[in-house]
Amino acid sequence: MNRNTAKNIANRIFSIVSNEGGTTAHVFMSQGQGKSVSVRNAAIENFDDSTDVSIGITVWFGERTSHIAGNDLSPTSVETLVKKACEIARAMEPNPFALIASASLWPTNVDATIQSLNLSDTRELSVRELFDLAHIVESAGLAVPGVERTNDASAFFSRSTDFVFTSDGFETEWESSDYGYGASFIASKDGQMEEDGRYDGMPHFSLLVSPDEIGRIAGERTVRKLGAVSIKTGKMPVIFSRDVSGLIKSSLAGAINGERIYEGSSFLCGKLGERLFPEGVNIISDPSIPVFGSVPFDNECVARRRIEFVKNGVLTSWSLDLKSAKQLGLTTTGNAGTISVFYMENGKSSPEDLIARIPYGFYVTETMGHGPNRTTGDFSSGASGFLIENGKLGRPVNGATIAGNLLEMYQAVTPANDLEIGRYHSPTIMVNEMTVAGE
Amino acid sequence: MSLRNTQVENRFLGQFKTDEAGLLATVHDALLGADDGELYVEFDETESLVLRDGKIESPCFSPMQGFGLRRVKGTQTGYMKSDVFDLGILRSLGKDMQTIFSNDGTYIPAMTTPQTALYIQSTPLTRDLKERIDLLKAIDAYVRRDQRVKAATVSLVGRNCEVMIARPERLVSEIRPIVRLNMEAIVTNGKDSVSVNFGFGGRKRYDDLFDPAVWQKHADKMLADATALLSAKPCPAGQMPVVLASGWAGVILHEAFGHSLEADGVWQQTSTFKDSMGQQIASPLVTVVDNGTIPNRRGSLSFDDEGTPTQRTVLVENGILKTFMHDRISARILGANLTGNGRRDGYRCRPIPRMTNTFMENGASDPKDIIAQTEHGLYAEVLGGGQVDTASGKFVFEVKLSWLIENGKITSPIKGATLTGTGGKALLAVDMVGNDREIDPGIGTCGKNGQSVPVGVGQPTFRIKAGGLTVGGTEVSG
Repeated sequence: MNRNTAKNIANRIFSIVSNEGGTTAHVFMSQGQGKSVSVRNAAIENFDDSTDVSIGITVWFGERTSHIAGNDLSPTSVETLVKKACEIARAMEPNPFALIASASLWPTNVDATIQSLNLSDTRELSVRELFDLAHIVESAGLAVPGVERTNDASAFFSRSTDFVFTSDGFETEWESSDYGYGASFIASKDGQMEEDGRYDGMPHFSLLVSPDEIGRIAGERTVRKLGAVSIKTGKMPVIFSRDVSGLIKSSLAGAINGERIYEGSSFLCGKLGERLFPEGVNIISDPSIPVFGSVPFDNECVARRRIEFVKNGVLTSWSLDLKSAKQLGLTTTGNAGTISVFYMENGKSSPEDLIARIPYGFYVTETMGHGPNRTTGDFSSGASGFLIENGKLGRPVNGATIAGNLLEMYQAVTPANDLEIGRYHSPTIMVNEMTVAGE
Repeated sequence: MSLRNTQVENRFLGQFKTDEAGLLATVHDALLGADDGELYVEFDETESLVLRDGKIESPCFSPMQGFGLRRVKGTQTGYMKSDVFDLGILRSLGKDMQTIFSNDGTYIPAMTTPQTALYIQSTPLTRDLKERIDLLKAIDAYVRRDQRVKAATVSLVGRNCEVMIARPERLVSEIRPIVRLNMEAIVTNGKDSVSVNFGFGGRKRYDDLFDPAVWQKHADKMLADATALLSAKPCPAGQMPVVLASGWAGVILHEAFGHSLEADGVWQQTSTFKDSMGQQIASPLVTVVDNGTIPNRRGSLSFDDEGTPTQRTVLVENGILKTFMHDRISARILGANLTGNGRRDGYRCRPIPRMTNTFMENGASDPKDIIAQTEHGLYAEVLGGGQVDTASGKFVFEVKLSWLIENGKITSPIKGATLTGTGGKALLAVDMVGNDREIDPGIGTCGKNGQSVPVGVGQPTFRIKAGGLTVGGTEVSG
């Protein structure tokens, strides 16, 4: 399917909707292909191949609307789908928040902007090449002393083309690709097994860390978990490694969602303009940074832009779509669906400097479970990682829990300087005090 | 006679433009030289309706269809899928996979055949939009009678999934209905706000969900939870006895035992219980079963996604590990009997060992006595989800609302927290098991290897001694 065939399908849909009495329609189409291979003991264990197409159609009959999705693009099937969507929409009641972005909100030069993001690699990997990559990762990991066996070793690539057409004239397409490999391993000591690993994924094959290095890191991460001890129950500083530090900004993303603010279900209601984080902390969405998933408009075709949601510690904006913006009497921020490329900026200290400040604390590399409660701001999670003793990383810890309240945790944040957008959307983060419970 | 649904088969055979003999011959040729494998064909239409902030949001309807061909040789699996129904595509997928693995296998036929369907064999999507809108509005109005409710969301989801599994020697097919009603409220006392929710459903028509006596009871309970949470104290941190409520709290079994007893982790030697067969892994009071045969339950299946009939499998009997949960690959490699646990998240995915409905059987204690005989501890009443690391056996689950037990009595409500433990240890510390077993109301979805499937859990009230679990609150005693 190229843009012309996709546009023909969309135009057919628009004419059916119009004949049925509809006022507007949006059509999203996607086609993708991918392959993945996993290996165990130097032989292929699983081979998966997929080609997918999908279509999503939203129709408006004034303030009446419905959404339909399918994966059969044959003309008869599409016609059935569209008529069903129209039938449902006509049976709906009007909803004053069933809004459509006006052309002034669309991104300008959208095709050129997408081109400049350069998020598509044309390289195809054969089953043999994927096997070779996964095999190198597995061999490098198994070579690490102490690694006993493979839990998973795999390599994949996928490519997709997405199209959007609206009956009022917005259209574009974007290609994306995703390449990756990695492994996880098993090691044991005194009958206690541990598993860990490392995976890398990038839109361009050439940006991946070498498979040897990924395998070695995966193996080392597994072995370093052996001989875990329990941690003392009490209040102490906690450092979140980059594997898990994204939970701080993710918890913020959920809590500044306009719909939650409007219904009063966020612990951040009423906190716009307040200093939530220490001075110097910035949390930013910047869709112009070319990483997987960067698209210059949101699910409502509204242009995305760079927004400093937290600037110098102060909460400056909610995350809004058309509906929540109208409900709150504000304008959309282009965040229908998600906040694109949302990251916390670097601080000044290195992770080692942060660790060096702590006489006794917990360096967390994995969390398990639900985590934040967006309504109350309470946070509780399972955690494992390493003891910090006298300013140095010590023995591994598992089976612990960490708890606190996000408002207090935000105030106690110190980011390190090891941000690596594309792999980690937050640097290492220290939280001065949380409650840790050990076994 | 095997379990067949003519309507389902006519749909798919019509789309493939062939008859049963033609399809089975094509599958036979596609799997030449394989040890195992099958064609899995699916049509899945989901409709959902959400009422939020008093308004019906854009309804969604999504019919999806496709098929997957799986080829198994030894421990190697190839999987290819298509959303275009065409025998030529099916043949070429078979040929493509023959080039990847060796072709000297001997096909192992299925030995057992499903007989009866455990749920209705027609679409559950029988209520028109108006009826569904009226239901959501009635529930919304009922919940908002409580003046403390400042926001409510009610949703209704129904799914009609038609499945056909073809092996060279036989074909099985059925309809798998599933419905679910969910309600959520933000409740405030003017100072603090809390979020509460409740859901229920199963493999059936919407009808039960439309019964006001049923949803009013659930809405009342949800609002009572909110009342408790609004006066809840911070959760303690550390070690203490924990009494788990009957029903959905069985999510602890799903995490502590369930995933680690799925047999892919056994033959791959990655599960903490890989060498524990016949060993004491729980207190003698504990018997845990996986049962996919309970009519109309969310986790039930007449046959699994490899075509094997589901069954009641005793996993742990009086604390002793008796059986793992198998798909066809793990059963063959480990020389074990099939248990009907080969499941997949639709035609895009290959099957792997998964739970169905997993629960603890009744013990002898009166649940009141379990509380009365606990001097100081936590009664975990409303639970959320959980997670496990099957290699170490470390697991967590979320308690949304619990109560302090002081001198044998339930006293103050306690805020939510994460609890953690180790599969091999936590249930050895069970010292009282109640006689009030309940299965959850039909809300569970389980994720593994990126695949989500509906499951059930359940248990009677039971107690874990101090040391079995770590409570992840904020309050440090002493």
